[in-house]
Amino acid sequence: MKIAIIGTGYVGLVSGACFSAWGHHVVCVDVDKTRIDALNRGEVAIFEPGLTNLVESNLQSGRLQFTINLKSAVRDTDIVFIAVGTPASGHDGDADLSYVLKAAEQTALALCGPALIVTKSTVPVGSGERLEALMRSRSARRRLRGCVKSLSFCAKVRQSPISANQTVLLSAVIATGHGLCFSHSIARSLRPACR
Amino acid sequence: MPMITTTRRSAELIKYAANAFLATKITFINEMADLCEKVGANIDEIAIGMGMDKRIGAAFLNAGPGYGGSCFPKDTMALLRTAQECGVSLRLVEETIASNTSRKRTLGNRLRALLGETLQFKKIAVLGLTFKAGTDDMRDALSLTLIQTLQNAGANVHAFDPRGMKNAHMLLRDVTFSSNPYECAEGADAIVLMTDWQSLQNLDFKRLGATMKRRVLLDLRGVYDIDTLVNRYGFTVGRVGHPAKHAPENSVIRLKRRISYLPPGVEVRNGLRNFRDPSFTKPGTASVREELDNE
Repeated sequence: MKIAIIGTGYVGLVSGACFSAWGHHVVCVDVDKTRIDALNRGEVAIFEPGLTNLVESNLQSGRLQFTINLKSAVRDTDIVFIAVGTPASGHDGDADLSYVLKAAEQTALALCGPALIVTKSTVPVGSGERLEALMRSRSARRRLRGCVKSLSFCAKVRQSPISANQTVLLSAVIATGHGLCFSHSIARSLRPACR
Repeated sequence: MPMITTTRRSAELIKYAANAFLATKITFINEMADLCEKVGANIDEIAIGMGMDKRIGAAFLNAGPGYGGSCFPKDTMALLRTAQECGVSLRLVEETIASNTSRKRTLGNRLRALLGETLQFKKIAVLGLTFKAGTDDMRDALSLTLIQTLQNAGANVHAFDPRGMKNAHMLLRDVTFSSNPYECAEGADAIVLMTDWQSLQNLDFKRLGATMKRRVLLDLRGVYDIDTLVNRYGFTVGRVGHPAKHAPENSVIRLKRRISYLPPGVEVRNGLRNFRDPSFTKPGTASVREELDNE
C-alpha cells in the first residue's frame, strides 16, 4: 500500500516508520526542510527507543521517504494520514486546527486518485465534517472516497515498533456506502504483512 | 489487530475522553497520596491494592508531581472548551485540571518544607527534566514549572536529564546543565527527582551524599527506598505519598534551628521533652517530640 503521512513529529514519524517496517511504501511530508534533509540522512531528531534503526533500515530499502513536497507525496497515494500538531491556542485552550486544515486543503488540491484520509491528529468533535467539507470543496474531481478519524494510543505505538501489533485503528463511517467498504479494506490492508 | 468501527464524532471524542480519564486517574492517585502523607498510609500499597481490582487496573496509579506532556494538558482543556460551547458541565475534568495545576505550582513548597528553611540562595539539583522517561519531549514538562518556582524563590538551579537537555535548553533560562547527575548534585542543598529514568534510579548515593552540602532528596516519582536512603546513606527524604523521613543527624540540626525560632515567653521544660507546639509543625515533617523520639 502507498501511504502518505503529513507531519514528522512524534506521531507522524513513528507511524511512518512502523508502516514502512510492515512492508508498505511510505512518504512522510513536513514543511521543515532542515528536518526533512536530516531525516533523509537517517538523522532522527526525536528520541524514541528503536526509532533511529527503523528509519535507517527502511530508508535504505526505499520503503520510507521524506519530502517537503506534499503534492508529489499525496497525488497517487492510497491513504493520507494527517499527523500535524493541534496545540492549545489562546488562553481558552481551544485546539488550534490551522495546521490540520492547511494539510487537508493541500491534500485535496493534490489528490489525483481515490484516497482515504485519516486524521491522526487529536481534533475536536465535529472536525471531521469540517475537514470533509473543506476537502470536497477543493477537490475538483470528487475523488474523496472516505474521511475518517483514526487514533492509535500513543503508549502502544511507542513500544517496540515491530511488535506494535496492538495499534487500534478506528474507522468512521461517512455518508456514502462506498466510504465504509473502502475504509475497511484499507484498514485491513494496513495490517503488518507477517500476520 | 483489534479494530472497531464507530461514527466519526465518536472517534474524535474517544481520544479526548480517554486522555481526560487518564488525567483524572493520575490526579486521583495524587490526591490519595496527599492523604497518605497525613494519615500515615503508604501510597505504593494503596496503588497495588487498587490496581489488583480488575475494574480499576494498575496502570496510571503512580503518584507523582502531576501530569504534564504534549497530550493531557491540552486535550483536557480542549475537551472542556468543547463542553462549554455546548453548555455541558464537565465538573470532573474541570476539577482535574484545577487540582493538577495547583499541585505543580506547589511542588516548591514540598521542597521548602523538607529543607526546613527558605530556598533563597540554595543550590538545587533537578534530576530528570522530560515529562516522562523514555522521551526527549519537553512539552509542558512539570520540571519547567518547578524550576520557575525555584528560581522565583531565589534558588540556584542545576539540572540533568539523560535525553532532554537539548530541548530543555530552549525552554529554560539561568539553569546550569550538567553532564551527569553527580556533577549536578555537587555542593547541592537538595536533589529533586522529577523524571523516573532508569539511569536515575540506580545512583550511587554514597558518592552523591559525599559531595552534597546537605543530604536532602525530594523523590517526586517514588522510585527510591526511603529506609535505605535514610538509614544507610543519611539522607532526609521526602516522597510523594509517604511522610517525610529525616536522617538522625539531620533531625538534631533541624531541632537546634527550631529552638532558635522560639518566640519569647514560650517555656521549654525538661530538656524539651514536654514541648509541643503545633504551629511549628510544617506539612510532611514530624513534631519536635517525634523527632526526639526518633533519635
